[in-house]
Amino acid sequence: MAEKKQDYYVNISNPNTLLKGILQSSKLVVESSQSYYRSLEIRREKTLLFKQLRKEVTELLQLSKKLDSTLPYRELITAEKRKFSKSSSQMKTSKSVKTSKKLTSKEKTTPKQDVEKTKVLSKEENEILKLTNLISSIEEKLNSL
Amino acid sequence: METPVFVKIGDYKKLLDEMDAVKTKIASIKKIIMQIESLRDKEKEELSLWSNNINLVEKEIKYIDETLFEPEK
Repeated sequence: MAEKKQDYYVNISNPNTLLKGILQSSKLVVESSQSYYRSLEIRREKTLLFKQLRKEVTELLQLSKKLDSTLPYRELITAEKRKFSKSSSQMKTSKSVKTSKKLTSKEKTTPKQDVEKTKVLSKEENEILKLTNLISSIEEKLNSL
Repeated sequence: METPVFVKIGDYKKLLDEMDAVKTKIASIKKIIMQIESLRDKEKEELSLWSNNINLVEKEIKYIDETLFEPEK
């Protein structure tokens, strides 16, 4: 005769509170899921805005260049600058001869290494470099004023 | 000594127009930045909501765990 299979049960005290807790957790998880989709939407909007911002800043840069070229005192500044650079270039050449002697073998780079370095520079880095150059040229202009 | 500079009226008008364009552009950029900032705040709010919800879920699960496995007295 086959042995009768016996089922065992565990008594769970406070089943309602447990159920309430599980439902509460489920509700919170669903809320988090909703929040996740809202965040995705926010990020999408942010990306679009950043693209727009980049476009606007580029346009502003172009406008500022245009403004700079239209300014009447541009010729005066360049003439002054030429005068100044002529006198300072003589001083600089004498200084650079002195400093070049101080360079150690570690600091010196071969042209091949330079080419490799420039290849490594990403597009963003190039942009930053360009903008840095632009800033320095603007600063030069400001100093010459 | 600074020398006076005279500008043709046509050029001056052009300059003013360009200045206006620059001002408009700056205003537009400022507006976009404000929008981005507001979005960033919203994102922050969502993140803090996530954090709160996770803490609450953790609390609930802990309670369920304790209730399920507490020994019968």
